[in-house]
Amino acid sequence: MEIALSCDGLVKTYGSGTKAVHALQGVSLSVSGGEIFSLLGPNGAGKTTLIKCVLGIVFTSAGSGSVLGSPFGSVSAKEHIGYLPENHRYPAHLTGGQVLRYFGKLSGLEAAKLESQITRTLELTGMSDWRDTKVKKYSKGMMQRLGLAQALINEPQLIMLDEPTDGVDPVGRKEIREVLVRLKNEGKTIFLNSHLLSEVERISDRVVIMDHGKIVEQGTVEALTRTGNIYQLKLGNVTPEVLSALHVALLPTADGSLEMSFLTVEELNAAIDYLRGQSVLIESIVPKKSTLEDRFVDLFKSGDITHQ
Amino acid sequence: MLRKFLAIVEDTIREGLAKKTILGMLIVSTVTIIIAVLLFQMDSVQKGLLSPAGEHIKNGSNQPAPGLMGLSVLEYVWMSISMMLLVASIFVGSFVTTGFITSLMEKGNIDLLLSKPVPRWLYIVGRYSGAVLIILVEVSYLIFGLWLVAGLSLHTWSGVFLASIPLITLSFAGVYALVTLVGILTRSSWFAMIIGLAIYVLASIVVPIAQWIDKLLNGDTGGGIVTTVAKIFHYTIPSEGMGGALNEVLLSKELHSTPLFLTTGLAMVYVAIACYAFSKKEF
Repeated sequence: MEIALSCDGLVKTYGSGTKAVHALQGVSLSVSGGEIFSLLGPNGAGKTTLIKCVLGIVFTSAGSGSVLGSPFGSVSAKEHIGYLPENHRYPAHLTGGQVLRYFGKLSGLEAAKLESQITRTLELTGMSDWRDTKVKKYSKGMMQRLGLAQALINEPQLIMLDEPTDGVDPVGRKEIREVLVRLKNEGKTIFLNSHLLSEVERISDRVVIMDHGKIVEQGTVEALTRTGNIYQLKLGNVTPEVLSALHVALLPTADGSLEMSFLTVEELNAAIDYLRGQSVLIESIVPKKSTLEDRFVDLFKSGDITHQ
Repeated sequence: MLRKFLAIVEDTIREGLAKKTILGMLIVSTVTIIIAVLLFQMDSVQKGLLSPAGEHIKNGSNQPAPGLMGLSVLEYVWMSISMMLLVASIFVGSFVTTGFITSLMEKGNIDLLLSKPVPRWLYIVGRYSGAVLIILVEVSYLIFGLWLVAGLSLHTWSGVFLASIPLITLSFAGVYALVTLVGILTRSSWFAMIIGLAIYVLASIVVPIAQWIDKLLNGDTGGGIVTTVAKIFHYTIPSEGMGGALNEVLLSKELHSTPLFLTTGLAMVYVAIACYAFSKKEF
């Protein structure tokens, strides 16, 4: 699969001397075409700076990068990129349709194509009824939907979204997620920057977690949320003596289950055999499932982030 | 590229129309034209306007001013209106249009614009052109309206008054280039307007002041170092001398091209520097 975006040793420093802010410190990553790639990290991690470098809104201090086969910030690459910035603002005197017409023209769309794209993107984002309403009357959620429509106006190959569901109600968030998945299925590459980890987890193929301008973790969602052989067992009529004879790490949970860690699946089966041999009633065995949020919180709570 | 440029110009005009000040300027112009219609219906006003200016306008020795010889009062009125409009277009026009440059760089807007496949310089050129176009329309509306009213009322069609439309617009364009550059550097409408106009005013008065200083220092008013530096400063600021050029056209019907070429050239240089500064800015 071709690479939509890549960077190698990207450095961005704002200011100089003692006031220097090291927003990016040697970031290297690559995004494959057709995937949903998410960038996570606490505030000030450098996520937005990375996007700004890609689009040429700020200039890199060192390192190299390419987007859709062109250097970062190149006008030719931007013809195939759609971008929804965080806290975007549209001229209050324009209607939703006029906003899309303006940005469509800036994206180089021809007149006939432009009108059909305005209709299509407004439909896609559920904003058709608001086409002729001035944006000053839009709610935050409607502004986000219009922003998404704006990002899609030029039928981009790469869609970069900074907090796309910010201020959107749960139903709207679900609709936006569905739009993103549909776009992915059409072969578009989606670069997502979001604080809503549950959403990221649901739709992302790969995730990068950043902190202080560095990548601290990256991989597929599955790999990041994998917990190993930890199971939650709900047992009836079990005695402490039986449990101590198991020789496994035990952790009681809130619902009365016991969380047990095994090195291998064979070890789990041996434990089950032993418990059954002791006439212990096994009510349920559930493999423990971690979430991206758990992983994220663990990573930043532990304080021992290992920078790549 | 042309389509993108026109989209930026159109957006600038939309932003201008959304601002009540530009609509206010059009209303003031309309009221002025209506007042002219009423005044030009009066016999005494008609007779007075068509009489020689020297009969009414005297110098300190109670003699007709030499510059007014052969002119009608109407032509003198045209000249006065043109000069007032030149000053108004520069100062009021800058006040109304400075925001077009700085609003471009506002948070939430600039990220979006820079993500589009548009070279950065095109935003500056488009916004600048949109502002100049607005002033051109405003000035044309007022001058053409007054000229039409006078022509229909007095049956005299002095085409030279219409020549003030491009000259006034060019004067504004020159100063606005300077204001645009300051706006890009400071990102503040108020700083852009105050500093830009202050530089323009300073450049207008700096040479006589420098000559006075030179005279104080070494009794020489022409070739002193202070005067030389002041002249260099004076001639590097756009629109200096445009008032004189406008006067010449209206009074002697002669067009001196030097201030026009100088203003055009300097405006282009200042806009080019503004484009360069914008292309190097991070947001």
